[in-house]
Amino acid sequence: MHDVRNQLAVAVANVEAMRDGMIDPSRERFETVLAALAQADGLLHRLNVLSPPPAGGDASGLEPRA
Amino acid sequence: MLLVDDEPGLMDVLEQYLRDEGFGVLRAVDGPSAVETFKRELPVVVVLDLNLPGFPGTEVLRRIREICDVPIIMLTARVAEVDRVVGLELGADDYVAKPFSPREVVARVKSVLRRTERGEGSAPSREKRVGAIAIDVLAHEVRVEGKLVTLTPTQFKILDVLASHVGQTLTRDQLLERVTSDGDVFDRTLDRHIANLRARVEPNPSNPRYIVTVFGVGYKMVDPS
Repeated sequence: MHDVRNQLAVAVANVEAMRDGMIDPSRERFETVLAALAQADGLLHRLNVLSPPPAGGDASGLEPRA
Repeated sequence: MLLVDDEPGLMDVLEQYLRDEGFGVLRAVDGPSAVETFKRELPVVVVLDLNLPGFPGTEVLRRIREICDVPIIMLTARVAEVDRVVGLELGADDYVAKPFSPREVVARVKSVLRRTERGEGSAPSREKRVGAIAIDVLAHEVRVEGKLVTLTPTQFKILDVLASHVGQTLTRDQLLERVTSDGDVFDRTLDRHIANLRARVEPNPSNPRYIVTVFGVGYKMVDPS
């Protein structure tokens, strides 16, 4: 799960930086964000394959955000 | 300041925010280069990812702490490790959990530096001094009344750890934890290392003034001057 958070960290930091005008919203930046999200998605998919969700539960292990 | 993470997509962004606040930023991408850069440049604050190639952030933290009390903020995706990292055991000053807002990291860096400037921490220094004992942590040299004494690496580590906590009793477990990165000291030999260390730095080893035994607990370094 920590690898998923690492990829989310890349996506969140880049999107925030573009919002704050800290970095230019270049095509390369969007590719960085998309690649991080795709990796997170792939990791979550593998986690779900390895540990199927319990009845009525969510196996992603993601904690709800406040 | 020193920024240590192996994820370039994250480093670029953090560096930009920190530079925007006026920080000079050095970067390292793995454990060994982080320690090397730290020793060479002695930055005033370190932002350190836990999960690094080479050796982990916890080991970087331990090696930097052997040198000085520079403020260290950990970045971690492993929420379960936070207590261990920030607690006394490893001595990080603060942490930010991934994923984070870059502004949050900047805020923590500024906060920890404000605390340091108020005197709650200390700037990097390469020499520790307790009475007539001077320890040069970078050169790995110890002088007693100006005269160089030869110590084994284990004796040096024990002395360095004790000198970083003058006046504070360290239990045998705490000492062993901080000294044995390679598992080369066992509980029963700690006393022998202490005795050999006293023989080299104490004016009268049979009546120690610097490295005092606290019976039933451990050892304490005191400044007799």
